[in-house]
This record gives sequence, C-alpha cells and structure tokens, in this order.
Amino acid sequence: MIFDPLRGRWVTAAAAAALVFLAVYPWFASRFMVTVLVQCLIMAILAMSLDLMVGYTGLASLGHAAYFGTGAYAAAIMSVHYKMGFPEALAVGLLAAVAVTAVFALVALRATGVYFLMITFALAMLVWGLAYRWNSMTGGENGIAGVQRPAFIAGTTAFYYFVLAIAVCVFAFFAVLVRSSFGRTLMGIRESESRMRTLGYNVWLHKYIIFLLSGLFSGLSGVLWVYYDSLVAPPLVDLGTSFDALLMVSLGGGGTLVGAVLGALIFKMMENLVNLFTDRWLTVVALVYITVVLLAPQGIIGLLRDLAERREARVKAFGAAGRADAPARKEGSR
Amino acid sequence: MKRALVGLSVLAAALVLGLILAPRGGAAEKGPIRIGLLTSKTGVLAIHGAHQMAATEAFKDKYGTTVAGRKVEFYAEDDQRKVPLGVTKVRKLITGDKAHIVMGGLFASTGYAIAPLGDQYQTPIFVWSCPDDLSQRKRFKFVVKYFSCSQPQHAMAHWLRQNKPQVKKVIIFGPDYAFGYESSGGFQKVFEDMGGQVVQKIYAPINTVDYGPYIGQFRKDADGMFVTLAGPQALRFPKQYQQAGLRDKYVLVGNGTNTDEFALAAQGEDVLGWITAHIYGGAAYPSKDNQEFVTNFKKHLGGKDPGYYAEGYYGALVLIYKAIEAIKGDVENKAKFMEALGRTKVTEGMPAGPKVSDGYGNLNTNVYIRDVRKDASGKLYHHVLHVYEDVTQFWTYKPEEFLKQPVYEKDFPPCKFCQ
Amino acid sequence: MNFWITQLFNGFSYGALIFLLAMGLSLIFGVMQVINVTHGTYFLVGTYVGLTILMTTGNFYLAMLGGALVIALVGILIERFFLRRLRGNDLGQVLITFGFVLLLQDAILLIWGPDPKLMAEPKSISFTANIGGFTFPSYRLFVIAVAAAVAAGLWLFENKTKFGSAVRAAVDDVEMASGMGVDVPRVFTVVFGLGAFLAGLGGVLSGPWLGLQYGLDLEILPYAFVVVIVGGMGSLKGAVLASLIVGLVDNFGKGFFPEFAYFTLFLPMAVILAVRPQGLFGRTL
Repeated sequence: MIFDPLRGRWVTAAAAAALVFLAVYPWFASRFMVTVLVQCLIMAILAMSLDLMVGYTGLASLGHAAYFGTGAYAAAIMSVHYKMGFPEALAVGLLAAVAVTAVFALVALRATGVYFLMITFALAMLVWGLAYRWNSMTGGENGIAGVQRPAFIAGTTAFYYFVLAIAVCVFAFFAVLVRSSFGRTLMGIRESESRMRTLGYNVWLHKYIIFLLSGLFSGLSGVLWVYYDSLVAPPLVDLGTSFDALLMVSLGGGGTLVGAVLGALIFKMMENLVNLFTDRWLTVVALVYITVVLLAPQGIIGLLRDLAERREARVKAFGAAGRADAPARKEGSR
Repeated sequence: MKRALVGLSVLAAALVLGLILAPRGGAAEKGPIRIGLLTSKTGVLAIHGAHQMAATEAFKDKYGTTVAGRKVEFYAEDDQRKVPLGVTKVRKLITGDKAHIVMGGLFASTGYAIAPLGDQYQTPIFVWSCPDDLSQRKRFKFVVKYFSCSQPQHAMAHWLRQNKPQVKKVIIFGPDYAFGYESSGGFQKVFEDMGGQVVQKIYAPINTVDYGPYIGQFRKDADGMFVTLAGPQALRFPKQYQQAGLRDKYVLVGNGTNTDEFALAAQGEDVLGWITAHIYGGAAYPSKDNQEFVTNFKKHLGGKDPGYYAEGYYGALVLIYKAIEAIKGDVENKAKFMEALGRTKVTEGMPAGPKVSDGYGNLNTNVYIRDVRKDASGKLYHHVLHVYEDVTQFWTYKPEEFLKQPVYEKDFPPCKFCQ
Repeated sequence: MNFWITQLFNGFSYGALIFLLAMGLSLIFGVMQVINVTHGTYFLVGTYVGLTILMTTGNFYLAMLGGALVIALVGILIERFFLRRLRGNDLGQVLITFGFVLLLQDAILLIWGPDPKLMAEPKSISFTANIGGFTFPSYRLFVIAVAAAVAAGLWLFENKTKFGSAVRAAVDDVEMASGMGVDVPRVFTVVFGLGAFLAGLGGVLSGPWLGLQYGLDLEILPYAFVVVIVGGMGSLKGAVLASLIVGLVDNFGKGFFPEFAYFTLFLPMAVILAVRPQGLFGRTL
C-alpha cells in the first residue's frame, strides 16, 4: 500500500481537527478575520462546484462567474426591488442559476477541450453584458446595494456559522456524490469519453447533469455572497471571477474536494492579506498563477501525493522490492 | 518539484505570518487615532490613487501626524475601482485595522455602497465623492460627505444662462451611472427653470472605448452641450469629439472632472476653451492657500499639478482633524465624533476656500467656473471666470421643497423637450 | 441619411481597429489552440511602447513598427519559454496567459505610471476629410487603410508563400501538417509572434484615437473574442467579415438599444455558437 494523503485513518483525525478548529474559530479570531473566513467558505462552495466539472469530469469551464453572478443578481433583485425575504430570494436565485445553466450547458456541451473553454468564456460575457448595461434591472455600474440579512443571521458570527453549516453540508453531499457510481462514471468520462460511450453510458446526459449541479451550487455561493456583502455589482461577474475560481481549483488540486477548499482558503486569505506586505499585489497574484501552472499542475494535494510517493519509493528501494503499479497521475486533458 | 514545495511553504509561512499580524492595533484602548483611507491604486483609476496618496503626504507635511495630543496612523486600502471590493476594504479597515473613521470612495456608486457600513459598524464614514442622496433623502447617521454631484452643476447652468443667453438648446452627455445622472440632473433642473431647454440626453458606459456611435447621434439643431466625463472618458471623448469636427459646432460646458489636472496635460489642445464648473478652482488658482497646497503636493508627485481628486482628499482630511480637535481627541466616543463631523467649519488653509457643514451631512462650498487656457510656455491651465461663494447642495431652492422631488436620476428631471 | 452614413463609417473604422487585435487572437487560437487572454494587454503595452518611441524619435510610423516589433518579441518569449512547455494542457495555458495579463498590467504601472497619456497623430493625417458633404475624421480613414493593407498582406502570405501554406495547413490540422513535414514548433513561434505583432500594431494605432489608459486591455478584449467566435478560429476571411459586423453592430446597437449595448454585441455571438459553433468560416469541430 502506498501512502495517499487523502486516505487512511489520519484523514479522519485531520478532518475532525479541522471541523473543531472551524467551530471554535470565532471565539479567538477578530471580527475581521471571521469575515475573511466567511469569504473563504463561500468561495470554497464555488470552487467545489467548479471542481465537479473541471477535476472530476474533465470539463474546464471558464465561465463560472455567470452562474455565480446569476444567483447573486437574482437574489439581490428579489430582495431589493421586490422586497422578498431570504428564503424566497434564495429560491429565486437558485432557480435563476439553474435556468441559465440549463440553457448555456446545451450550447457549451456541443464542444470539447479548448473549444469548451472558449464557449463557456463567451457565454459568461453575455451575463456580464446584461449586468453591466441593463440599468433598470441590475443598476448597471452602480450595482444593487442594500441587501439585508434576516435577523437570525444578521450578526457576523451567526452568519459565519450559517455559512459554515452550508459549506459542510455541500462538502458532504459532493463527497458522497463523487464516490457514488454516478461519480465514478464522471471520472470514467474524464479518462476516456469514447470508452464510456462504448460501454453504453449516456455520456452527454452525465455531463449535462453535472453541469446543472455545478451551476446550482455556484448559484448558491452567489446568493450567499450577496447576503454577506449586501451588494452586487458588475466586477463580481467579470472574467476575473471566472479565472479566480479556476485558479482556486488548480491551486488546491483539481479532482479533490479538499483541494478546492484549500485553494479557495489560500487564495482568499492571500487576497485579503497580501497588501500588508507589498503594494504590488498584481504581481503577487500573477506569480501565483504562473507558479501553480508551471510547477504544481496538480496543486497542493498533488505535491503532497508526489512527496508521499517518493518517500514510499525510497522505503521500497531499501527493501529491494520494485513496485510495478505506481499509479500514474494524468497530465492535462487533451 | 522541490522548488515548488519550497515556494509553497514560503507562501504558507507568509499566510501564517499574515494571520498573526492581521488584527493590527486594536489592543490598547487609547492608542493612536486610526484613519482608514479608501482609494484606487490599481485598476482603471490608478491615477486618482496616486494623486490622493500624494495629497495625503502633503497633508501630513502641513498638519503633522499628531492631533489633539494623540498620534494618528493612516491605513490606505486599494479598491481597484471595483465597487464590491471597496465594500470589502471598508469592512476590513473598520473591523481589521480598527479605524476610527474611514474616508474615501472614488465613485458616487462606491459612496452609495459603503455608506450603510457606517451605521452597521457605528463608525463614521467620510464619503469623499459626491453621491447626492447620502445627504438628501437617504441619509445615514454615521455618514458625511464632501459635496453633492449636482452642487457645482446647478451653478454651471446659472452661469450659462447669465453669460451666454444665446445657448438655448442643450444636449446632455454623461457616464451611465449615479455621477452622470446627478451632475446632469442638477444642470438640467436649473437650466430649464431659467428658460433653457435640454433637447437630448445620452449616457454612455464609463468603459466605452469608441465614442463614435454616441457622437454620431448628437442633434444638429442644438447649440450647446453639457458634458460629464468620468475616469477614462476624460481622455477618449475629447479627442474623438475633436476628430469628428464638432469643436466649433456647440458651446461646450460641463463638469470639472472633464479637464481635471490629472488628465489635462494628456488632453492637450482638444480641450482648449472648454468651460467647466467644479468645487476646485484648479492648480493655477492664485489664492495663497491654494498655492501653498500646490507647492506641497508637487513635491510628492514628481512636480505634477493637483486636481480636484487631490484637493478633495486633502480638504476632507483637514475637516477630519478639525473634528478630532473639537472633541479633544475622544474619537472612541463615536457618536460624539460623528456629531462634530456634522458641524465642522473650516475657513482657513483650504485650497478651495471655506467649507461649512450644512446640517444635512454635506458641505457648503465655493463653486468655480473655469475655462481651459494655454500659458506662455504652452502648458494648459484653468482660468477662473467666476466664483459662486458658499453654494449649498440645494442651490437657491428651499431644502424642504427640494427634498420633495426625487433624487436626480436617469429619467429625472424628465426630458420634456426631447420630442 | 447623414446619421446612417456617419454611423456606417464609424462602425467600419472601429471594425478595422478591432480586426488588427482580433486577427492575431484568431490565428493563435486556430493554429495553436491557445486562448490567449493576454492579447488585449499586448495591444495596450504596444501603445505605451509606441508612445515611448514616438517621444524619442518623433516619428509616428517608426513608432508603429517599433511598438509592433517589441510586442512580437514579448509574445515570442512567452510562447517559447512558457506556452510551449504546456502544450496540450489547455487549462494551464489559459491560466498562465491570465497570469501574464496581471503581470504586464503591473509592469505598465511600474514603467509608465498610472497617468493617462495621449499620443499625437502625425500632422499629415490630422484633418477632417470632407467627402460629398460628409465629414470624416481622417485618422479613422488611415486606420481603415492600414487594416486593409494588413488583411491584403496576410492573404498574400497565406496563399502565395510556402510558409503561409504551412500555417494554413496547421490551422486545418496540426497533426496532419506535422506528418507532412511542417516544422510545427517553428510555425507556432512564428504565428504567435505574428499575432502579437498585429496586436502591438493595433495598439500603437489606437493611441491617437483611444488614448493610453491603464485598463483599456480588458475593455477591448471582449470585442476581439466576439470576432474570433463569430468569424471562426484562424480564418482570415472570417476575421475581416466579423470585425466589420462587430463594428457595425456595436455602433447601431448603442444607437438603438442603449440598455442592451453589450447584449446586442454578444447575442449574435451566442446565436452563432448555438447554430454554428465553428463560426462563419471556421473548420468543422
């Protein structure tokens, strides 16, 4: 058996420790650091949703700002223009995100590989264009301000626990999903679409369903973001958001839910704290993009795995026993 | 691989360090007074951030970093000209840096977005930009602001009717968000109340690249234009307007941002003769206070002239110090601090003349009508044609009457003469 | 009538400028299958380099050439040392090009500062042309002329030179071209350099028209993407036609449906994606 950082008893222990840490975090962290972690958790939901497609199914979407943004805008419009309560606005936000995803996925799934990237990117511009120019509905450049949280989650700490609970549930649901036979089919599609098709799987339908789920949960994170930030404006829907979401997935390690969470955590922390050290945050973020792509294509989780494998190999070498079945990590998607 | 691991561990170490350092200050009860500054150091409006940081340095030179016997610390944050990020940064300044007051907000839309945070955290916010309604119908307990977008433009309309009565039919052109609507609305209201007619209103998104489509729509039967340009528009529009051969077609008046010093050198001859109204007379305005400010400012920005983006930042800081002095440095009592901010009055040392609180969270101020001229060395500057003194945000209307109408919006005042 | 002619001309000239930006993007995508998000930033950096050359030499045409060459060099370096190592990794390539957007943006701030700047056009093309009672800014005529010359040059290159036919073969099918003895890495480097060259050229040309403003790169990039998608990736004919469509739709859209200005631009793109994903003149997927 080789050591895998994502398996074994110690994982249970680490997960428990992480949960306890998150649960007691607001007791010792400043209010500011609590809000930073709220951002991290909301973005973790977005990153996990995206990872379902990018990491598990091999569908690299470059337009997740669209689904995130649709959820955010729909909830804000309902809350501010139509004075809806939180549950109703949440419902409309999720519905809107799913509706947009349902249409966009139809168009995008006709393509694969780099064309899929391009098309999802282009479709997301459509949503941005509407957000930016449809003034009477979206407020245009001004955006929509004044979204109020309901009383039970009005406080920073209360909202933190609320978001934490949702994030944990989403994580658990996704974890079950990717281990189900449905999830294994997705990974089969990632490795070889044609083989799965020969085996009689409806590849298109699997892709469509995972796209819908991904859009739904991206919408959820968008709704939560609006209730965290109390406003929504076009920069939230622009290509920067789509790219950042992808970077979070790549940074942590695609194809692992923990990686997506880790990526979101590190990226958002960095965004909030990097200016303590330097004014050149653009360069810092740029270097993260370049470094991750060149040196850690499988993200942090991938690095840990490699490290573990190498140690394992050294141990094996001592025992003079060769290992024939070293699992090869896949590179790229083409 | 090894290099990557080293890189990542450095990153991780930096993050941990950040976590430890993050809740700066805050511990000592009566430590320094912390002023949070919000500006744009990167993004499309990075130039304004540079001007405002230089203005802050010029301010420190003159007024020091001690006020009412307490040390003052400044925390500057960059919103990258993104409204949502501005909100995040203000939240950070208040909860993370424990700022006693936050000042800034480059855009009217940023102002509207950050204002609710003042009441939420019971912390004063000095909105440096000009969203009208924050001192009119949508007032917040913990928010004051520097001026109203429409405030100088009421005067612009008055001046135009008085001095160029032959201009009767005017086209309004502006950026498609609060700043454009409120500036244009203020102009339209007074202009039409004085017998003029606005015959066309066109709003373009701030990031418009090619103005051809808009310029092509300008009505040929109009004789004047009221133009508001924000950020990058100030560079692109004048050039394309000139290239379209419209220079002598319309009498062009507009907002002071059109020819602000930050862009003036780059704009060149295209804006020669443009008439604008603003709360600042320009870097060349010969008052003693202004010239002292300009000299100070230039030291911090490679000899460049300050415009209103710099003057406003500087002026707001003077007012904040004044309020702190009034409460003898007791900024921890935020209600008292807020109250003092709401009744400041500074008559001396201000580059743009006296600033007096009007009791609505706004300042009465001078409005300068300027045109752009060229001096002997070929450098462009603002020549002040007229100064309206002590102008309120309500112009000459009664506040109660004024507040009965809605805030200036895209469709308010309605365009009665647009056919 | 006047309105229509003016708007037609405006749309035409803006389309010409967009063509210079989009053609390179389209070629790079068509041949190398790289979504080069840095392309808009090449355009902008090109403007700044052009300005510096103009200030030192006083010659606008030299600035056009120099700006384009410098950007071509930047593009070649990025292709050679970064993109080539990531061949086949679509996601990695697009992420790294976004990294370079941020890096180059910061470089602009460091080197040229945040001040907006304006570039003067040469006196010889700074007048308002009067043709049949209509006034046209001569500078826009000049841009149209340059774009037309570039399009013609590219057509000759693709159809009359050996290397050009290698490029066309690569657009059609890289593997096949490689099998036929085409030196694929060299084609990639040349195509990337050429694409960057065109972006730099367009950038310098935009100087006296749009001004130099930090942030322009991401404002103009969507237009280029629409052209690439509508026209078809790698297709010269498609890029020419789509640029004109985009210029005209942008003009008339802003005139007639101001609230949906971007929507009118992106909608044709979405429709094309839905019914003909390879674009008007693209090869079949």
